[in-house]
Amino acid sequence: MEMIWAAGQGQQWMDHILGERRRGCRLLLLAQDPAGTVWGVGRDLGTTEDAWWGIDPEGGVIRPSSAGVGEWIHQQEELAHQSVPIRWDPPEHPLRTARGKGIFRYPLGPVHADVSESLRYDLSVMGDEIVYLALRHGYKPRHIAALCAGKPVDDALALVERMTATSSFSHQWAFAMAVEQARGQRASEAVRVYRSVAQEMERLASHLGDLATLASSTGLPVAQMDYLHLKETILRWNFRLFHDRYLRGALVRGALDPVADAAAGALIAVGEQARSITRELLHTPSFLDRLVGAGKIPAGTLDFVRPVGPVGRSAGLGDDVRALWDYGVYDAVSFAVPQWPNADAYARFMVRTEEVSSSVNIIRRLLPVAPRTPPIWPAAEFSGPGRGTGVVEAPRGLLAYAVWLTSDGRQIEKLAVATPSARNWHVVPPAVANNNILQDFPIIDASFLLSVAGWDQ
Amino acid sequence: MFYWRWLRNLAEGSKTTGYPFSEDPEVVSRGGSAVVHEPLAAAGPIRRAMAIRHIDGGSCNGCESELQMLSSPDYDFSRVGFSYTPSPRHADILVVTGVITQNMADIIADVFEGMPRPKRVVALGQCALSGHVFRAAPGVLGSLEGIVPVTVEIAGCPPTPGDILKGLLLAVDAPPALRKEGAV
Repeated sequence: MEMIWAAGQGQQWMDHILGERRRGCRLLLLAQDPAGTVWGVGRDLGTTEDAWWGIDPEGGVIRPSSAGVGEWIHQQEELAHQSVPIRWDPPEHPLRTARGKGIFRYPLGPVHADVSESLRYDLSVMGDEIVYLALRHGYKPRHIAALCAGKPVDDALALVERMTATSSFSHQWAFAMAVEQARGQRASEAVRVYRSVAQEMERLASHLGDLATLASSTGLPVAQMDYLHLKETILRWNFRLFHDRYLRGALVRGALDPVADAAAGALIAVGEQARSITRELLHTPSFLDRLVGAGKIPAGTLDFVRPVGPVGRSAGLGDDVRALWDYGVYDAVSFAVPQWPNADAYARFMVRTEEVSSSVNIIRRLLPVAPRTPPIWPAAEFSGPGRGTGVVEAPRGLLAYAVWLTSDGRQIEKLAVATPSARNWHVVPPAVANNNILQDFPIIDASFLLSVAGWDQ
Repeated sequence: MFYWRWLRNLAEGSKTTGYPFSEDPEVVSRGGSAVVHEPLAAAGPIRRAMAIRHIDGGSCNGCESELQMLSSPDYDFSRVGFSYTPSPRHADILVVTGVITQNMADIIADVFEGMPRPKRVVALGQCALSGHVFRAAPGVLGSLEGIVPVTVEIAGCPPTPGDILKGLLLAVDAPPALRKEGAV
């Protein structure tokens, strides 16, 4: 923990952060503590300790567009909107627009066809080619982090598990991990086994839903329906095992329903059927032709934002929190971290399909040893530092929480969250406006399938 | 070609539940959670295939995920005449999810205005009914009151596809034949 910067030393701050990033440190989170100090949190490989770099609230923080710390884009934007004495020192960076004869702008959203979240896309096209895309979010903020302040931990848990339904358990786990660290507690192995099963079930449902949407975008309703049937199968098993289709309350529940004894066969069958759908899609030219080369993320964007999760792994960035830091019991089960270099829609499809197989394998191995009765937590004295972080691999990638607890360890004083969607949305505009035509747009959008709820929070 | 799979699916038979017209232990229902308000009497009943327009008024995407499941082979809402439409001009039912933020209120009202009569509004999920756990958040209205007239409220966080299906049938004044079967 370092706090060496003060007013007017924004440039030194940014130079230091960039130096850490170049050295290989993973930048997790940017947050302001209750006293007003802005903290950057990062973690090195080979350690589970976080590095905290603080900057005086009077100091200026350089805009990400000039400083190149893409990991924190969203959080810097959030800080800028809060009524705190944070000041930006932007160099001249006029908002980019596309102008010229023959350029048409298609506003799309916030209300969309079919079932979709509220977000506005402004597509600028020249003929058929998309030359620029601007995203406008902020239609649906629920101010979850602000609502958590001052609430008992259990009440805050009810809020964070509703941040994004398709990654509800990941939010519960990252939040709980941060609280446990702040209290000086450590989850037992049985608890971590249970949580790992829940998280992989969540990943299965999320990925299968994403694959269904991608199949639909390419005009293949048969594949879409097959994937949706598998997703429904997983959601029904979620209900049987955790008593909720989206795993709400699963963290507190702490044990699988005894029906879990019969689950392995059905889940393995889901994995096999998913592989079979994928195999047949890979022999369908009308599917492949639309995906290969579509929505390729430019190299400069990758360097700047460093997307996480399946989007990152499909662009040659191999980070997977499960492999970097074993917060569950992932060291005990071997699993593949798929990696594709292409950074296009096809690579994103392939990564998701391979991760479905990985998740089924992890669940298959953990199910027999996952607890069927809730663990009894020792009523330990609160002995932690009062501040903690939690990092997990959510279905869409690295999800980080930081919490500050009150002195008795029962209430949330301050909470900050960095979601994978908030970070990854920043690679969508450059990927869309990269030699693609308007007809490619739904496919590219479906190949990312990020959550708006995780961005607007 | 992928369509071989289609033929195989045909041979395997239907995966679709008979719910809500017959009991299905696989379909989760929280039961009795739909509330019907005064229907739009002047608009009259809807007696044909029904097109749904969805708006996210500030959801966590749970209600959206369940709405998408309605078109899955397991629920197949097209068998009772429902489909999603990309245009409010073709819509009969407006389904609104989420906490209803201030930013979305006017947009929801505009879409409702653009729909032809007869039309219905379904408030879907606990957030759209009361704001749920987000009631106290700034910029969150917590209900559709004063924005659009709600015909049916479907509770749940999120409501299950089974409950949504029952609620949609209520919203369109399900024909007497369906009522007799005890579906709604």
